[in-house]
Amino acid sequence: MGYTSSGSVILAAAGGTYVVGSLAATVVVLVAGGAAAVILTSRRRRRDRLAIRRQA
Amino acid sequence: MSSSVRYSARTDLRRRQGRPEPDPAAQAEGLAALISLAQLLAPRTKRISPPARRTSGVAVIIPARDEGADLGDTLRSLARQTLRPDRIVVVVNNSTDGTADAALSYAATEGPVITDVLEMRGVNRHRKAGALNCGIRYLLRDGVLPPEIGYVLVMDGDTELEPHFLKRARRVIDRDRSLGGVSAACLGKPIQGGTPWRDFLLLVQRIEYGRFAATRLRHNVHTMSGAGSFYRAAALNDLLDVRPDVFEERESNLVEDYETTLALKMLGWRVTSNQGCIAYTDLMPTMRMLFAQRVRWARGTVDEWRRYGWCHATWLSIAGVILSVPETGYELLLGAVLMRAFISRGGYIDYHFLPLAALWSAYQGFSVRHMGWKVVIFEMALIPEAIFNLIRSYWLMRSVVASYLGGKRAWI
Repeated sequence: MGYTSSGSVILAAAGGTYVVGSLAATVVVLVAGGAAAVILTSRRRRRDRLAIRRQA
Repeated sequence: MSSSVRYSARTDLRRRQGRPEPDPAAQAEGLAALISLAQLLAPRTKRISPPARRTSGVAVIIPARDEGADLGDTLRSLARQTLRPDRIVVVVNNSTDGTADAALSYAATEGPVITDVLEMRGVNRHRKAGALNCGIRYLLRDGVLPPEIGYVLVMDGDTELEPHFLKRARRVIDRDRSLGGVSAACLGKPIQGGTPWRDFLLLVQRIEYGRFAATRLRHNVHTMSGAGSFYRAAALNDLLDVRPDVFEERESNLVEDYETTLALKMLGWRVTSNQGCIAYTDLMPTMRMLFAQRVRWARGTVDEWRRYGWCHATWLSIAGVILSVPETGYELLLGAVLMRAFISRGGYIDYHFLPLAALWSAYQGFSVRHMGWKVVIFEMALIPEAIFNLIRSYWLMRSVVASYLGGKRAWI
């Protein structure tokens, strides 16, 4: 019985860690992806602006 | 002029140019009188001869079918350009409304740009490609575009250009000799739907165009937009060296702009877009029209991929669609699981997903921040955009299946 309770706690903890860990990983990926998208699109916009400026 | 008659018996040149042909004798007399008068009145200063009229080297071709309501605005947007084209060729393609009259009345006025109106009558099996080629053939000399034409702008009869479009497009193309064309960054025209449903449809399209223009990453873009494509004449001449027409005349060619883009890329040319080269394009006010347009685009694109195969011109676009399949599957699965939990557990929401939704919402809002706060709020609500994305994905998948199963092609 004690063994079963301990096992349940361990499983619950592992499950909780898995859920929290996977969510955290997803958040990190999304933040990194979003930041990369913002940086890259800003660079593209800047290059577009440079391309239409009068040539020196 | 003779070229148009030679290549297409169905084509009539309705008006050679907008300005009436001057009488040379009267012109010479008037000029002599003016010179005499100027010599009498002019102070004794160093005389500077007036500069010769500078030409832009730009010719514009506008295929128009039943565009009588919009064509006038299209032509006026060309007249407002800060770099004016040298000539405009309007190809009236089997129209039943007042398209020809609108074009002719513009050409007849004392406009700043020489405007020719060609009228195609009878069966035009190649639709827009046929009309575009008709305009290009009209400009050809000895089978190629003559040296005085350095650039060709192709645009729709219901599209309006931002006043700096031509000046900016020419700068972009002149800076990079590997560029064969500059595509417009398309934005939706600010039109009203009249009903909430139509307003919703127009809004999602405006957002789609606006976001696409603002979040572009690629330099060598997927396709030139048929709404506004600024080509280097040398690139088109290269194309004419290897095939009879710039726009392939094939009944199965549903996306003539994309096919020509692929053909240019296969010849080694690159094409780009620029956020400063803006074209305001027409939007589809009904679901039926939007559906027909998008299925044609998607079906035509898939058909061209199958024709060209996996090559340097197509692989990036094909890879993008392949990656979108698991993404769509994930969205569907996640939506179904959350909905099931919400219904079966009496309004249950798993708060673990809220941070993800918040991030997604923030990015959606951020990506349309240039379109105003109302659009930002609309996008941050997530659900309307998610539904529209699913519908678009369905249209794309349906087009892929139809391409392989040989479903009927439709044009709108």
